[in-house]
Amino acid sequence: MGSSIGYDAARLEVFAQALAQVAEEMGVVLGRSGRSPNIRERRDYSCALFTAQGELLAQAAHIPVHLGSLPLSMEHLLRWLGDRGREPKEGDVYIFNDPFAGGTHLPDITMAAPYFSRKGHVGFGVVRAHHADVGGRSPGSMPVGDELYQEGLIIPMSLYAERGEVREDIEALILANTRTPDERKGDLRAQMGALMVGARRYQALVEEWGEDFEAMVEALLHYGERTTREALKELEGAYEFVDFLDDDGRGQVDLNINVKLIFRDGELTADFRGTHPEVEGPLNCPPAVTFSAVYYVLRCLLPPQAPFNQGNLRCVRIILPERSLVNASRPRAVAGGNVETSQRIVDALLGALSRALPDRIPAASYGTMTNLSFGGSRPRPFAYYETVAGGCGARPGKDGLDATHNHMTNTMNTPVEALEFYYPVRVLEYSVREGSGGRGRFRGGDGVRRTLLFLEPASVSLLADRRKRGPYGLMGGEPGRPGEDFLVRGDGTRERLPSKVEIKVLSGEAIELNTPGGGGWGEAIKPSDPTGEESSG
Amino acid sequence: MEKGALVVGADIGGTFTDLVAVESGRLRLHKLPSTPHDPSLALLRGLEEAGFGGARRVVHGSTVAINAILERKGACTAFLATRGFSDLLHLGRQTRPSLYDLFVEKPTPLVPRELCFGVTERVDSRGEVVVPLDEEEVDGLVMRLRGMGVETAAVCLLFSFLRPEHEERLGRKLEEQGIRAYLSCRILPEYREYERASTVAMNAYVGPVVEGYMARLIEALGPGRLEVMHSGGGTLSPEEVRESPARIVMSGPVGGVVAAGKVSRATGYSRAISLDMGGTSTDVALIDGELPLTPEMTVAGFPLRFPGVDVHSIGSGGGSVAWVDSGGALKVGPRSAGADPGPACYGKGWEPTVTDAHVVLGRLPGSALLGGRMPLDALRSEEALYRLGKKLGWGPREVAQGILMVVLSQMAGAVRTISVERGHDPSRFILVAFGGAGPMVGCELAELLGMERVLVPPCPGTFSALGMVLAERVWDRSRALMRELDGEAVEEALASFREMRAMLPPGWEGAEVSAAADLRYRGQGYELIVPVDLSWGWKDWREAFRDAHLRRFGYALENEPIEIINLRLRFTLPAALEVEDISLTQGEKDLRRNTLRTGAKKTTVSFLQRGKRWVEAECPVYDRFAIGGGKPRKGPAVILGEDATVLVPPGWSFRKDRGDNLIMEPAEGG
Repeated sequence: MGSSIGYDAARLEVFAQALAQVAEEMGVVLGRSGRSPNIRERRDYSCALFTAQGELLAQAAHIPVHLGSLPLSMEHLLRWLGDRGREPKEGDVYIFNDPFAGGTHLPDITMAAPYFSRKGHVGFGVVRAHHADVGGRSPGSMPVGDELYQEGLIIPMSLYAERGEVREDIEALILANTRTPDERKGDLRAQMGALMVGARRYQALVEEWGEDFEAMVEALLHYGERTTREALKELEGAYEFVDFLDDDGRGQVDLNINVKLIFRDGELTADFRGTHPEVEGPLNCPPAVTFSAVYYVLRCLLPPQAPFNQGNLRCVRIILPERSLVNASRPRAVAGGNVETSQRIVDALLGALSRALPDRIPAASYGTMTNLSFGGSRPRPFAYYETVAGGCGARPGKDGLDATHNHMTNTMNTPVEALEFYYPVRVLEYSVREGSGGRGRFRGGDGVRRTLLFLEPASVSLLADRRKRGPYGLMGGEPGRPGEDFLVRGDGTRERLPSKVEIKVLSGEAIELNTPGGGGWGEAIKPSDPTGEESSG
Repeated sequence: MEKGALVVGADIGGTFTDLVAVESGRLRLHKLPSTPHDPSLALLRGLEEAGFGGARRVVHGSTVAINAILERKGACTAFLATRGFSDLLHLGRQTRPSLYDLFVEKPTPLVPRELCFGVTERVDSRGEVVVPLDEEEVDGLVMRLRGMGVETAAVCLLFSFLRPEHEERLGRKLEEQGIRAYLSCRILPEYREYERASTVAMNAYVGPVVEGYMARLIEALGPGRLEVMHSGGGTLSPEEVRESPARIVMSGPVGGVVAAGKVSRATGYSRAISLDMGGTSTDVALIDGELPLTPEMTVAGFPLRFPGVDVHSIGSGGGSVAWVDSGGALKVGPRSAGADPGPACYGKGWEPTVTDAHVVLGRLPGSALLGGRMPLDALRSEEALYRLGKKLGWGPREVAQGILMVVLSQMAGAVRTISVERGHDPSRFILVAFGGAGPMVGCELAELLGMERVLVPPCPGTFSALGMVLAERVWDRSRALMRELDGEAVEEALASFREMRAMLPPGWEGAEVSAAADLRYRGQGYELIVPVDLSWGWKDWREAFRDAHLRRFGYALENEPIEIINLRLRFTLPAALEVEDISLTQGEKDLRRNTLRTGAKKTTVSFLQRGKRWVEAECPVYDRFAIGGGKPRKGPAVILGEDATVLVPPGWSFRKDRGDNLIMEPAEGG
């Protein structure tokens, strides 16, 4: 009277849900048990599951900038194991952050562990988290430097734990190279805790599905592939776009990012040839960051509940010119690749896409995370890092959102009352930067103004962009206003700051940040036009 | 209140208003259609229809506040903040609610930007006044607000929880001009300005609507009878609600959790997971000896920082629509066919829903909804599933099986979220299944989760209303402390607790008091609520926090400084009734009147085993009220009750306990 065949579509959904939940649960464990505000409040981390062959099964990405980089990390790990003839062992935990060997930028520390069941080695768990300080020349490890070595400790692929025991020598080495060792230790242990929870849950899942497991994995990857092909099939042809970063903070200006998107037979090629060569300043991207930007845009094209696994990635080809801004070589500085260049890559990709899908693609958003970090020693040593949101691009049919993080990031702000409680600063203003959104039939979102008064001397590092060219508008919409930042002296005089700068501020001086507005969409209807009821510019 | 007096619990839902009345231990139920434009009409009509008019106490779960927010029908509210921060409500936490949706929207704040104002003043993080309040400017602003027709004002100044005087002065000036002022230093003296501002704005926005509604009910019922359920799982008098009206915003799903906790405890189990499956959503909650509370809720996308019963809700219920996505996977929800047109079997629409899947698999025998008052069209169910199945090359039965597999997997995921992800093993809990659809899937869900006992209460469809009469009177207060934990900090905390006690309104003198503190390691962004004893020294506080941290996150740190962020007091007065005060047997005749009938003695039902395999079994059909207590009987079985059908799969046994609950367990050797 029983039957167990058929129902593939239902079983597939159940299997996908179960895997997604394991990854999600790893993220919950990390988010709740991590020490630093960056992990706990800003949720700057991701967790993923892979097959034993290194295929992405499920990912809980709380921040899109990690999307594409975990599969590359996995590839690197497998190669590293293969080159050394090493077998994955139960209880081993690998750790690394080298941007040119599976990483993104140095603060992103990745841990991975092989997972086992009665069948033997059945997969991997990977957990990446942004650590608030990994040493280097400035607090927060986001300096405006000119080589990787200034940005912090480089961790090549190493064993953080063996047979489930943390290797104290490696841990001590890492902790000795950060300004905040206690916090780092708490975060590292939380990462490992998340991996261990993943190991248990993944093992249970593999055993629950028994001999069907491999077939279900295959079905799941096909499912991801099918969903992607279906979505891409609607598009055909080649579309190009060029967007620019203002400068690298070291004198090189107008850094172009060239994109050509080619859609053919349900597949996508993203060709970045023609992009500006790598630069001296910290805007270079390792390939993982560029991949993330492409996968982010791909995911935006998929239906809301679509799966995202190795199958999706089978439909995408990415061409990166050597030694370029989007595929830099060692030992270029990369701190800002993740947070600044990645946003501009998305702008270029969406710009190209808007030519294929004019009714579905928004104008450019603020396009810079406006990274502010500062540190000092009075009344006690401190280091702090934050990003500031901006205006989002107007959409066909809708205004852009004001003062909201978009595209590659979605981190929360730090409450003013928390900031002032812990650090010797006073926030003088935190407001919507009115009128900064680009005019248009649909208005670009307004940026943010945030002014911080320093009550003690501090070293401040600002890493921002879109201070020269505003985010582009589409279909006749005007660009958003570029950002502008000032040092406000004790006597009230204002001095304009470059977009990438390291300065010392005195007690009583303030930094005023104004982030860009989003681009407008469609031609603005003149206010005097009696039919202009829809104008929102 | 004298023993035996008539007490009524009223749960107002979108479609039905449920009334539960208890008099001298006897339980009576009444269900009638809701009146969404003014929910008090159905409530008052129901009281009259059922002869509950002489009730001494009417405990009420109200949707009036949440509806005012969802439908944007609240007061004309202004928002007043420290100069430079008037955009607080619009900035939020600068995040978007969905990562990959290029057309994502953020909820529009309850106060438009034109009504948000900055006031010249500033207090710093030590509570010192850095810029004094500009009184002249305030006078001008208040006159302007009056001219603009502003009814209420939400006031949230930076660090007002450390130094409330600026807010107090503003409040006086507003009230003098007839504008009702809601001050953050009174409503939520805690740190984190956005969450505080959002909470105060929500109070100011719903205040007049809630007050008007309560006034109408008091007029009809007479004074001193009405109590309102609040989000924290207790009840408040109308006067208490008036002070912070947003406390009642999430009173809906709370009743069922309260009832699940009370009923399972009376049955001898202190650990329970409640499963409330309705038409559009399923709510789950984990009760580990006491009600699960969260310090913050999300309402229509906005944070509301009052203690709330921690209910996890997913968008799949009986009316959820099944569909096939572009990659060929079978999905269920989140779209729902709702009550209108409803599932295909209701005879109006053609959407294939979870209820239709039950119908096709024989799991809802005959006209089994609402005591037979709602006939079901099984042929329409089959036709709807047949149409969906064409896309997959399946017949209607296979589609139905697929739909239930997916729904059960979603529900198992929801239960794991509140148990496994928080360090609890579900197999150590009983599953309390209620709501119209919960009792049909309880045992199969328990199998998926390794749970070994399922309880279905006597009136699963009106269980939330029962929770209203079982809820205690609860008064919650909190206050920021923001200090590193040491001996001095604990002294200060005790002084603060004393002050909070002194602010207790009349009528609460004999209340039981429990104290708790929001604690964390220095710099963490998330606090744990840890119960504390007022006789403890600071090292006891530290131990309690480390234990809690270890339990929740799997580790504790030895030498890390700990911070006391907020202090909490909860005052509790006994509930109107205890479970033991209610005899369901005495009300049996009443209940039987409505009991479902199929006429058949046996019926064939498909069951899912261990989430993987379907079996078909011929089941005896029982009338719930004809089942005697005592020995367990073997499944499979279909048990028809007042407003829900209970399914007992093969391999499970069932029995009725002294409280008239049905208890299902895996049969020995089965």
